[in-house]
Amino acid sequence: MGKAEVFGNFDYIPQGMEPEGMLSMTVQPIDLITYWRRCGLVADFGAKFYAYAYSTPNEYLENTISTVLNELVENGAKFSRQKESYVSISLRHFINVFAIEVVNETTLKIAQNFKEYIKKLLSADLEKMYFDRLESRKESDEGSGMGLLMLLKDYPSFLGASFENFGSDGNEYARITIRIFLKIEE
Amino acid sequence: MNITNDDFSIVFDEAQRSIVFKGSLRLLNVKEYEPVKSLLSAAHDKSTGQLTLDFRDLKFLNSSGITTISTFVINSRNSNKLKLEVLGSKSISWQEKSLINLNKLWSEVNVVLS
Repeated sequence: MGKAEVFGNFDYIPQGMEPEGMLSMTVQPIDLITYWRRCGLVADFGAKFYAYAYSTPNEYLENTISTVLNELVENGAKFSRQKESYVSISLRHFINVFAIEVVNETTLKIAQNFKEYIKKLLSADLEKMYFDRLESRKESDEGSGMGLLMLLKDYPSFLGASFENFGSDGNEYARITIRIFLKIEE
Repeated sequence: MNITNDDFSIVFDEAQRSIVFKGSLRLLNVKEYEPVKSLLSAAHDKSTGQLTLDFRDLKFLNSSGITTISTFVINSRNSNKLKLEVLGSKSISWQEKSLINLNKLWSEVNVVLS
């Protein structure tokens, strides 16, 4: 196991701090890729699970959690090794923050590209980066690369990321942990 | 020219010059949004004066979808054939947070949040 490289506000809330509530689940990437609607299902479940923590219906908060979680789960599914791999999702609810973590395993090449993208996100003028990317998109671009950028620009959130290589002898992979700390807007 | 399935519907009303989105729209990537892009483009071609995009009953739109809509706005700006009106709901967070970005892409986009 290699040493983890950590970026951004990875420990904005320390892992040892006890949350008000916690939910975690682990799925295989192939389960999500094959049945893509499951990404939304997972996101909606996580959001609904926490919506019950509020005495009055809070559709706005539920919509926010589902939107943020969905983007992270979609990324975890798209950029994973599809077999012999997993996507691990956890939500920790604190008084005014949701800590959302998605862990996935991928190739070293994908991890390296993603690491460079994370570095850019953490140092960029997000407003400028958002519109520059939209304006410079080519019609042939399959992906948008806008998910995390949109979350950080439009939602009150902090990003943390960790990259850790594992394996040996030509079977080396990277484990990516993405954390979004979402401030709860009342 | 409409798209309807278990998760979402997109309906173009030519007489009203409006496209109404309903449900939850979270496709795999921008490429998967090609049919949506084609519908938007065809509606644009058939409309004069103004075209309304009504998202008020669309509970979710993922970032690939937002990119698709944003690209449509950029293309509409570049052709400058008609104005766009965008209807959204303040009680649905993605709409309240993201739709305003369309106006920043093109000032002729009138975003109305109710």
